[in-house]
Amino acid sequence: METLESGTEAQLFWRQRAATLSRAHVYCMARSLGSELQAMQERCGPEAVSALVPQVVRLLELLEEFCGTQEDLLLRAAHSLPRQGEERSQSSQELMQNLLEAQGQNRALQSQLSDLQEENQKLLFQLAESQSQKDSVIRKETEVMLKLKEVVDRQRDEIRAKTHEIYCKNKDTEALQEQLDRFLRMNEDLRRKLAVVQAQLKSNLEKKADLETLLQAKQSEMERLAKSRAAEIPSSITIQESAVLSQDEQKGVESGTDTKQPLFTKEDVKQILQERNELKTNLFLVQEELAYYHRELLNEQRTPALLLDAMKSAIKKQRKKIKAKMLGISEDVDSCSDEDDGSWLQTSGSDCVDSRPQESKIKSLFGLWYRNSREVTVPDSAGIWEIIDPQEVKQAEEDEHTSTKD
Amino acid sequence: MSVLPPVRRDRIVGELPQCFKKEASLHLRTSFHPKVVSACQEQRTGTVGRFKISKIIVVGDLSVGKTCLINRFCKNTFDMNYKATIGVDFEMERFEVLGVPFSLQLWDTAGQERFKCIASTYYRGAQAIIITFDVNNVVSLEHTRQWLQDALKENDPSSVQLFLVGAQKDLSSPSQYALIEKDALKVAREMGAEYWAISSLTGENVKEFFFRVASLTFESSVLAELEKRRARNIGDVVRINNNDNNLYLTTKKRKSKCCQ
Repeated sequence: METLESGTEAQLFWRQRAATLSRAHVYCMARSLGSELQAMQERCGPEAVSALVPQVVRLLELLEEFCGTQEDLLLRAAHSLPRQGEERSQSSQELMQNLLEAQGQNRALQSQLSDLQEENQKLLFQLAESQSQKDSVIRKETEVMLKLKEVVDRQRDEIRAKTHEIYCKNKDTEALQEQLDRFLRMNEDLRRKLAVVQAQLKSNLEKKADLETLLQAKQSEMERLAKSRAAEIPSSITIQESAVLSQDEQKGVESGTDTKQPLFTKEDVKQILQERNELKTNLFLVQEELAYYHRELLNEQRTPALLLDAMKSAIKKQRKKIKAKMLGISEDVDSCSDEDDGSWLQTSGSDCVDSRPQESKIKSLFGLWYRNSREVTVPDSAGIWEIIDPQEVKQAEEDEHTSTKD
Repeated sequence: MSVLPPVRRDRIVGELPQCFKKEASLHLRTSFHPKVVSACQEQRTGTVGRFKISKIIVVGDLSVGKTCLINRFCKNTFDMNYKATIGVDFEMERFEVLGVPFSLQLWDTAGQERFKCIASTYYRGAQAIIITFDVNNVVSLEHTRQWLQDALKENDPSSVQLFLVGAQKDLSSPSQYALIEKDALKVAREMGAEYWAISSLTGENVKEFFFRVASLTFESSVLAELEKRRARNIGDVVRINNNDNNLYLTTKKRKSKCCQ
């Protein structure tokens, strides 16, 4: 506002005639010019006015000096007017001349000023032009920058995607490698197994061939045997064993006249096995006992018959326990008798050794042979354990069998 | 004085026989359990000392060599001809372990399928199960799991000792054997069984194996016996304590009555 006011004030001063121009006017003009230049400097930068300012300043200084001299001249003239009345015409002419000179100077200065203003205007225009050019360049640059940034971003994303892809691919290859390893191992394993199975197959084939020849030989032998003993009951153990059949086969002993071999049911086999186990247990115990007496004999420690008798029954009792353990039967009276230490020394009346089934299957099969053996049986000689040989042991066993049966 | 005569000199066990393969063994101790040793020294073995039989069952596929194994050990014989076992058979073998008589009853079962129903009735009450396979026959090794499962149906899996035995080693080449041994050790570890490889034909490892079986079953029997006795003693103590408590209670009651 102030500048605007001073601007209008200054415009008034700009319209002053050269004769009436005073120092104050010059200062006002200088101020307005100064503010103008200041504004310009702010707009276009200091370089734009740096060349102009000293010139303008010099011009204003000149103007100030000129005004000063003019005023001095005026004052002096005013002072000297009354005193030098007579020289008035002369001095007025001089004054006129001075005035004209000053006016001319003023005019020259004014034209210079307008030139400068024009120049200033031109410069301002140029400045604006260059400014706009600069702006467009900056705009273009930013555009290019943005484009570049876009490109970089895109490429970065692409690189990231590719990296991820590579990572995935690596994973895949690893998994595949692992799978491959596993397959290799499996393959190796299978090959090994195959080799073993092949070796086995070879040996089995050989075995089979051997067995076939053996079977043929056996069959021919069997046929021969069957023919030779058409009416007899087979007594050989091997035929029995080969004739044992599973439960789904027919029950009973005979199925027809074509095969003379007896057939057994599962129950039969079980019973036979049970009997065999019992017999074997007895055999074991008797053998042990025999060994014991052998030792006694070797040691030559003869014991009286009465004591031997007592011992025998005691031994039988212990045998019963051992037998029950061996056959897995629960002992009847004094089961799990850990405590009764000297129990076997006490003589017990019961002389029953074995609890065998009523009807012996084996015996029924060996009926013929058994009938014969029963006739041969020698009565048990209690207390004379000194004279023992295997034959007698067997006989004693048989005797027991028959006695229990009866 | 006993009914039974002294055991054969070659059936006396003084020290614990070692396992065959460290990878698959029941335990790796180098000597008998100290409790067992002291019990034997002090004659505190209870029923084990008098006449103790351990039931051992031998199972496995047909013709792997169960009967041959037992015959080699018990009778020192070997029959080249195959003769199927009918149902079951058994052999007695007497030992003396740490000076204590001890018997093994070896039950030889039939491997044939048709006898399985009969043989399986003899499984009950086994102290040890010997599962046999043929080292030349992978299938027989695979079948051992089934045999074990069947045998354990009749027995307490926690108390029974397991042995996995590869037979007919003489028929296998070293390289072939090495292959099957790897599988067998794996199976044995899975079962918790001790692995052995034997040959009944040459007698390789047969004696060592049965001595190991006898020793381990003996050890577990004695330990079980000692445990039983200990439990009984504890029972006594508890009973006495109960009596004490009762006495205390009654006196207290009496006292209270008096006060009233």
